[in-house]
Amino acid sequence: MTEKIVEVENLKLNIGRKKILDNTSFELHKGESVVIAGRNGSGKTTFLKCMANVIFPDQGSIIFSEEVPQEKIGYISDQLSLFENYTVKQGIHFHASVFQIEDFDYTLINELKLDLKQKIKNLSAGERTLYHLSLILAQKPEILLIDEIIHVIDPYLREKFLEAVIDLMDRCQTAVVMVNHTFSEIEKIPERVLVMEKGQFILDEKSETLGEKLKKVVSEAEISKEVPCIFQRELSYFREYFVYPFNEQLRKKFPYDYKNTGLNEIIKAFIGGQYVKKGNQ
Amino acid sequence: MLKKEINDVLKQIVFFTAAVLLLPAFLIITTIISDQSYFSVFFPLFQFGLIFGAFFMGSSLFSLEHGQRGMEYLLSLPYSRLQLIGFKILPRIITVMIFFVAFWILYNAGGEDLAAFPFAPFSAIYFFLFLISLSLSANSENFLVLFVASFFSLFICFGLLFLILWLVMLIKGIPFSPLFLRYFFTWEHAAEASAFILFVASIFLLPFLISFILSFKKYDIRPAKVYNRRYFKFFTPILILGFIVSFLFVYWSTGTGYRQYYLTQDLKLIESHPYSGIKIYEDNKVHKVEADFYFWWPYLEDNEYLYDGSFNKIIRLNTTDYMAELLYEAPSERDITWQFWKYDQTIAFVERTEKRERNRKRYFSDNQLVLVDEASKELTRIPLEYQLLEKSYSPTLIGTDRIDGRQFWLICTGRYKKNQILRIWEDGQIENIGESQKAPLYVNRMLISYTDKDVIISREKEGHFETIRKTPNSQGFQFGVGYLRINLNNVSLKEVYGWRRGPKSLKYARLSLENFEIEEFGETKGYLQFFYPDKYYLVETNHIASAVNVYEFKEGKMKLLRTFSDFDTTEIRNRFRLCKGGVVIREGKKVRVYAFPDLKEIKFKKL
Repeated sequence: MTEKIVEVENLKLNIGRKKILDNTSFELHKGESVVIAGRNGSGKTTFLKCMANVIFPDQGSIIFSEEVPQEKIGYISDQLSLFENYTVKQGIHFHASVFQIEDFDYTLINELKLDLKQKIKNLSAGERTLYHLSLILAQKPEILLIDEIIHVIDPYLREKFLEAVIDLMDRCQTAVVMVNHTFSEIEKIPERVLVMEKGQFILDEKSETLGEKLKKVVSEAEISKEVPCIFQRELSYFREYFVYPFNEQLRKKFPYDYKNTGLNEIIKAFIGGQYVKKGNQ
Repeated sequence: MLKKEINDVLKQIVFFTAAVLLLPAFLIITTIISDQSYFSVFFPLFQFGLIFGAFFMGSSLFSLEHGQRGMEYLLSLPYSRLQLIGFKILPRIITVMIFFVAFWILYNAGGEDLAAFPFAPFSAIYFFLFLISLSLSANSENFLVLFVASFFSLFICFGLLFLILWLVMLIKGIPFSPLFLRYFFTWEHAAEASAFILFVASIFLLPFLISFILSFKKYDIRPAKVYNRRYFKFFTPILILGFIVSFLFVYWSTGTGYRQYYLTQDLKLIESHPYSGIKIYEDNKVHKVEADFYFWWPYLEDNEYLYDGSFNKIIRLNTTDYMAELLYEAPSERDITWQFWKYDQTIAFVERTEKRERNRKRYFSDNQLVLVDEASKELTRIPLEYQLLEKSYSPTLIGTDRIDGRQFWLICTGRYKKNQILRIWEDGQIENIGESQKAPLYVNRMLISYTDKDVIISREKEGHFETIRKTPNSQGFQFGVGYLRINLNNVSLKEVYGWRRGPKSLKYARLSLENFEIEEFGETKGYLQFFYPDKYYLVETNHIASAVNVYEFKEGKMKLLRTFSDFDTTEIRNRFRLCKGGVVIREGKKVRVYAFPDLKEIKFKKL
């Protein structure tokens, strides 16, 4: 395993009486790519903002290794927050001066054919996302934090965005933490998948093992209640059961037709399961 | 980052300056107030503009970031929260200081008479509002909320200050009065009283500033109520602590307040204090004077009486029967100008009402010469209907006399229009009898006035003053110790002394009232002090040797009476007072008394 660059321990954060983060712990390693999923309001955005120094937790600690000073943390917020009265050029100059960037790479800006005199507030959401990413890339960050932004951009720009992120990971060994709902576009990125619920991580698995541990059973009849099913859904004339954790002993005892499923569906099952749980409470 | 903040602040300055400069011009152009000069409209508006500018500078710390959805970006920059505050505050403080200097320059360049607020209250409001709004800037994104909160907090700061002053007065039994602060300050100079009040008020700024710094260390983008809860967690105990500290400080500093001392000609020592009242020390006895009013400072000594004219009241203290008596109190809207004078059994002074013209320049209406008969307290009011007096800040009574059974008084208009000398008759008739380059003097029934080169001696003859002598005065001496001749009784004097201020020292001269010759006889540092009718002393302070020399002037000679080499001249609270009876030295609580003629130390057992 590569070296640990962030250690988050027992984060607690309340807003009013509502617990947003509840003893959340997490580790991140150099070059690792992580996707955090979870239903709305589960605390994943707040968690990312804590890592980006935008929110201070009430309790707990976030310790970055010595090679990750704050200048080496790149953060793209879900608000695409920038000083939007600046022109594209002013924004670049400001960012470069604050992060002491000497050789700003205009490749992405040029590909987008952005007018440098245009104000940031007049950029489209997609242009603004790519522009923000180009600022962050110039930092050559050790950690890149991306908060639920991919779904607002069109497929062409989304591909460009992901290509740039993957290229950064390859070139700089940057660790990436993304908060996302949909995985169809980014299935190749995460090495680790985390699911958050009520301010805690209820799933933290390597992507490669997750497919082994979660199987889908499609059946017209109900399956045994002894099978650990995290989520089931009724379709027109059959049902889908998502079994987790799955192992070969389970197959021997309950010989259903266990099928592999994609990351997108796995996450959907976990999130759906939490909604069902909440409904039963 | 600092460059960004400087740019942001510069943009705000441009808008602010344009508004403040253009609004008066707009008002004048639209003929709403067309009969006024640009500056007279500009300056009061400038003051209001500065107050709102100070609020805006403070409260807009994060408004630009909020306005352009840049707050998350700002907080994710590689700076600590305290560094962020530093970047933001520095250009704003510099701006506020630059505008204050601009105000100060304009105030001294004619703005004083036009000001909507006097200098000290304005300065306090300006800086307090800036610091308060700065400290509240992160509490809300809503400008209106910040506006209300800042002005309310300013009110709280000064409200708590006055509450403390009032409470301490109540506990110490000091009578409450609309002018209570004047009675209250324990240090002898008004400037120190202002500093004292400002210091106590500043303690109430600390809860705002400390809470801001402590709570901003963990400022984030959570809803404002989270930040506000943390802010008030710091604010409340610090405010309570500040209140206690201020209260104790005020209680302590007024409790050890300094007393004023005065030594009379018959060697009685008068002690006065704002709330412990007046005591008179004699050899081994001490007498407390019962009075409902505060006797501030013996301004005039005449036989057994001491007179004080502070706060528009004339009080007479009898040092033989230890009674204080209120001889006169001016109506609330009227002022006793400059000082009062005495002759025979009459107290005389000029009373007037201060008003402001439309261009806010001060003038004085309903000028009257008021005469108070000491025995009956009967008042005579002689109207002074003379336009020059309306503009004169310090009309001064320089003499009185009788001709053919008719009384007249001589009034000098002060520096306004070169000291015009007016003669006022009993029936109110006023005649201008000439002008003088320096403050004139009426002595031995002679008027002494000045041209550029000469001293002019003139005497009343058949209804007008006739010049009897011109003495060259190329050195520009001024005789008679200016306005300090409070007793106007006509006595016969042989000489008067005068001085001329040189670049580094004072030159002294004697004017003989027998042959009218000027005799220059000394050059030294120090100040000349005159006691009616003919005593002149020079007090010379030598800070290097930490010593004070007292000289007497007599018959053209300067005689050293005593050197006080054990007086610490560097401690500003020490007082060296020359009185009609001698010298009183106060160092902390220690008081030493030296009596004329040879300034030997005398002791009071009960002191």
